[in-house]
Amino acid sequence: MLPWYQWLILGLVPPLILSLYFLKLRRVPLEVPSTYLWTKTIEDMHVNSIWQRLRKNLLMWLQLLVVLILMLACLRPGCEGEKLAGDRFIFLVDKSASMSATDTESGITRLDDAKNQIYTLIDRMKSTDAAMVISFSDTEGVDQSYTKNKSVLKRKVKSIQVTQQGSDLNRALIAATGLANPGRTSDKFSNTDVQVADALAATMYIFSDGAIKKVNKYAPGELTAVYQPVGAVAPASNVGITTFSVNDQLDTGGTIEAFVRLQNSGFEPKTVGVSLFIGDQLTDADTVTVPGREISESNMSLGSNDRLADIDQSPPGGLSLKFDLTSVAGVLESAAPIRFKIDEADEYLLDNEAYCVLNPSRLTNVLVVTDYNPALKLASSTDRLKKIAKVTFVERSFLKEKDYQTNAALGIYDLVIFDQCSPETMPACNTVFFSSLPSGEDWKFTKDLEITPIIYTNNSHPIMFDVQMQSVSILNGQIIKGPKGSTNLVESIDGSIIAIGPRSGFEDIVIGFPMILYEEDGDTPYNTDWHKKPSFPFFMQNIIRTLGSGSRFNSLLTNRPGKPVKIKPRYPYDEIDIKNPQGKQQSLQQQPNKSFVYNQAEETGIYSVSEKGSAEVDQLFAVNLLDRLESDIAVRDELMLGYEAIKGNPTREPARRDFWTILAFLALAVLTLEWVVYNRRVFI
Amino acid sequence: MAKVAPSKKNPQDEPLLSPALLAQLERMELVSRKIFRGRMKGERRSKRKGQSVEFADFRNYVAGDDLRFIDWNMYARLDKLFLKLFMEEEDLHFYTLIDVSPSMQFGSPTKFQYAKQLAGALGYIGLCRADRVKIEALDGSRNSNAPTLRGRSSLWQLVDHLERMESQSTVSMTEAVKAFCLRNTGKGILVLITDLMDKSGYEEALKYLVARDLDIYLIHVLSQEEIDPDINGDLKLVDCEDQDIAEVSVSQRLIDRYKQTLAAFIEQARDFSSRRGIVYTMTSTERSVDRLVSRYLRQRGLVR
Repeated sequence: MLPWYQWLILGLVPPLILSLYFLKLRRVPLEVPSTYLWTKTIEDMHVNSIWQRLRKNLLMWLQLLVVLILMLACLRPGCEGEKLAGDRFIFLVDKSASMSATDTESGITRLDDAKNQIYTLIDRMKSTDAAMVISFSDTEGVDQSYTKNKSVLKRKVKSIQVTQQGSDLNRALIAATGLANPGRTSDKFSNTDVQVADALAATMYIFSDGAIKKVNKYAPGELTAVYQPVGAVAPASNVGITTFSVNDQLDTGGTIEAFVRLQNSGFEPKTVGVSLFIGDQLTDADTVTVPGREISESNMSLGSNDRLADIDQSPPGGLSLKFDLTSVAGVLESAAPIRFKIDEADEYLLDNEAYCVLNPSRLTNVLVVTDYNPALKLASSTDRLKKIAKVTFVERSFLKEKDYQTNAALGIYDLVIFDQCSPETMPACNTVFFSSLPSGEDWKFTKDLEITPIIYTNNSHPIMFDVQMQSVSILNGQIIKGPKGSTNLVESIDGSIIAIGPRSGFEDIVIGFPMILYEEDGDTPYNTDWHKKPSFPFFMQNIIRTLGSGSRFNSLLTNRPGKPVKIKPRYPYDEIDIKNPQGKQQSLQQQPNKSFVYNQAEETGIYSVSEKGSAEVDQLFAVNLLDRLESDIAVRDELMLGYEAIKGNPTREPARRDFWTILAFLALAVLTLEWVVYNRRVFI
Repeated sequence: MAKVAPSKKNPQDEPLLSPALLAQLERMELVSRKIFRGRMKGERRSKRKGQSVEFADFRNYVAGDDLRFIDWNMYARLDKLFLKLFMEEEDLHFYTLIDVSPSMQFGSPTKFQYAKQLAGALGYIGLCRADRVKIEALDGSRNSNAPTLRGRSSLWQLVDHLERMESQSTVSMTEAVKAFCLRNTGKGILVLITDLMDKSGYEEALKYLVARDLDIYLIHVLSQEEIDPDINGDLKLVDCEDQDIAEVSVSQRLIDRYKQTLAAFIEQARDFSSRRGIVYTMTSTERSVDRLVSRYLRQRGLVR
């Protein structure tokens, strides 16, 4: 209902129109010899007009009629829908990549369909209702905080654009619940926690296709969630790429293979053509049939529409493909983009192409600073490591030389291993310290220890992958305390003896015990039997592969859209240019750790990196969505928020068609024109 | 208040009758379609037989006739007394009535100025032919101060009278004509110069004149602004005589309609006049007086 003053304004319109009829047009007086003929002329004209007698009144009545129609329109009559219950609403809009699918009734994208539904809801809000808009993909953003202004809300909803990212509802829910329950803060015991407002009940509409990451925690408080599924009027049929990678040479004995996984979110098997391009050149093509969803026995008898209801019970069908790229990679002189493409267009186009970069092989540059350490030498000379790294052994005195200092400062080394020695300034690369500490105050030895059993190995860390330390004996060592953010890799009873910690973009590993003891008499006995165990070469290999960027240079790391990309060029440029797939160029300044961070990788595709102002490409990197959830475009009928299942509201919000308003405004415009015409006597 | 008809130069400053016009007029004479009895001897044939040189008829002598008119030659031949009759030459009453309502003050030159010029011109023709010329303003006054002029030498009096004439009268045309008829009883030619813009109508006035059995010429003077009004926009037209107001929003259609109304008005006046033996002539102030006199009025038979 309108507030009283608006009714008052509206009620004043008819008298205003009437008074307009009494008002006379301001006319310029002009003296003439006689008005005799003029009066006669006007009279003649009036007599000649058939509708003259009625016209004046007809216009007035028509105008009054229009005002009545307008007033009626202000009452917002409609045969469908009713007022939204509640007075506070939150519109959560999924803007992830899958919302670009066009499987909606009218053929528009899911996001546009969701927007239309939200417009309808906004129209149905009472004038005293407040609503807010939150859009989410991998990240979330409050597009509009609580407002009663419907046009602002609509404008904000309209401005939401689909992203090429996955969807994660967790953070959006935190934002929504936090704003709905304003008394809630993260720290209940804080003195500064002031109750800013009473918790008010709010209704949260989630517009999504349901392809979202699992929501672990959900405490709605005063919030009521309504899930509004968008899309899929017919069972979704989408074949998409969910994995595309080029493997590591080390794992496959020298062959380089591209690995592709296709996923079919429909129920029927689908045959598609696929093509693999290296650069712009078609390298391989094939026609493959991707099996449909696995249908559980309980669903076998159901029709395909009913099966949709149980979509989580039937995982999408998949097919893996492999392409041998060894011969291509062998003759590669510079980095080459690889593009894998599904030829057939479908309702969700974003997962029909995936990108990768095949870089020419480059050996990792490893420097080992030690006076004598046969264990390290042996472990570094395995065939596997020789394929990926060039290991140089130098004595500790080399640290004083200018060559080292220049190379270390420029980041020429990928990894430096310091055996019982420490540089004055840390090199611009990752480091490993055996029984010594990185310069600075961050790392500390807290306690000496003798013959200690190892009680814990953090095998989940890539450095310790396949490294078994339980049987390793250590004679002397020290307990390490790393800087904030460091991770313990190996622990004894008293504390950590191997730890890894961050240093402005690089990582340092400190091992709390030496492999070899340098005794005063010149003797060099082993301090541990680790070098005799198979775990030591594994450890060394892991260090060089992980910290030495060994794998990175051979194949590729693909990045997800929207995430920052860390770039380390081959040469220490001060500034680089990055060209996105659309050809738009951006310059980046070097970070203190000699690397660059690119935050604008919003689109999937191949990005190229070059020195600022130079046309020569330094390296390429690929950005891919490759999200199984997003590619499975079947619309979920329920959302799991924590332990609460929110059933989707299958009926679409009835679209309100306010023809009255449009017609009334049109009529008003026409009649205003008539009024002008009449008063100016254009046609009289 | 704006006024229609802004004058480019002030035509009021021009002399009423230019020497060239006077020279042209001297050769003309006023023609009456009727023969009236004059009061004095003039240059015009009268119904009466008189003492001119122009022979008219013979008749038998009866006792008491002036012996001087007996045709003795006839008596010698026929031995009978006959009287020789000659045409009497008399003067003619020539009246000019000028509409002096404020509406005559419009146009360039004003209709009033134009009327005075025309009256002067016609009056001069009359003076040259020794007619009795009287120019009167239609102001409805009982006692007219208009002189009755005769002879070429009265030209200065004529001009002086015209120049003193003013157009301020708001008396209706009928009233003014009525007053004129009461004042003047002489027969002759009457020229009425008016714009006919009288809301009470001109018909009654003309009827009074017709009843006087005069030879009537109606010269309908309109300004160019009345014939083809050049106005625009939303206007409040104020009547200069009775302050009556007509609100108009000027459009081409309205102007067209006005012209139709004016044409109908003129046609009606012409029709009314011709039915009553009045010679109607419509003229615009744009048309020069000498052209009007020498061409149009000659065609109409007022002058020759």
